[in-house]
Amino acid sequence: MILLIETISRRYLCRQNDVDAVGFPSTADRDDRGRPIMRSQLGPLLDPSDPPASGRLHALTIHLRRRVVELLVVRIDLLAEPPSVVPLAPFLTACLQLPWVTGAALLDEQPVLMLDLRRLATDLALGLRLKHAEAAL
Amino acid sequence: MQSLSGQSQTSVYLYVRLAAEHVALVGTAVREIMRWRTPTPVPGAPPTIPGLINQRGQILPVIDARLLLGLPAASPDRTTRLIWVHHEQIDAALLVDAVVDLITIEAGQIEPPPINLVGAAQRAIQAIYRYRDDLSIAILDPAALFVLVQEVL
Repeated sequence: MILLIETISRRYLCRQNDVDAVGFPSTADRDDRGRPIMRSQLGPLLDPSDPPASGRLHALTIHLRRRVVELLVVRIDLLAEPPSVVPLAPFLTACLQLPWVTGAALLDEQPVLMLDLRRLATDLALGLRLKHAEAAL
Repeated sequence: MQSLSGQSQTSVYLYVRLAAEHVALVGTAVREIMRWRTPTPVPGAPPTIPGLINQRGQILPVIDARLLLGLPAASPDRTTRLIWVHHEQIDAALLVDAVVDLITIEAGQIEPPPINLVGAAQRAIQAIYRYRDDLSIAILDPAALFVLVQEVL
């Protein structure tokens, strides 16, 4: 199943299997197994022109071995009819700074990117960021 | 888009402008010319690939030909065009400043590139055509363009 994620100015897709829980962000610093919870707004993490959202956000929660990553977004929908996702052109994949985008699909005739959220969460836990996000730290 | 006229072989080329540079792409590599539209940016992609567009159901990566060839960046304007380039199973939309003309060139009119070319231009320019005696048009190698994209990070 495919999830449609909305940030302030972008839409993305992800596989539901990559996400362990969908809901509201937790308020705790650690989960019930004592793992630290990292929270990041997905929009500005991916695109410097996508501003941070305020108000009631939703969380895509990914459990890693030693950490829990919560990616905060404006809206999450389960797509009843999954779109046809095509992989990125190999020459584009080869030059991505981090392999967080695996493909794209057309929604309302616009390309929408398919994210590998498990890889993204793993990289975040390792301290890896895209260049614009590194500069913002 | 090749024909035999007498003894000489001719090919059609799409003549485009990149900043002040005049370049051409072989017509067999060109599928379509499109007006500029803002692409969907791909996180982590280099500036040479500003994003993806949808052209009649096909998702195409956009390649900024200016940046690829080491020319300064420029904002798109009324004359900016995207050229759907297809070469050996690879499709992309090449961002150029303007489409000038379709020109027919005889094989005998094509000259080797100057030896003083350096960098990306040296890799991408496969020949030179003297257009109306006073203008040099650089003929780009589509295969080299796609190789360059992966190298320019």
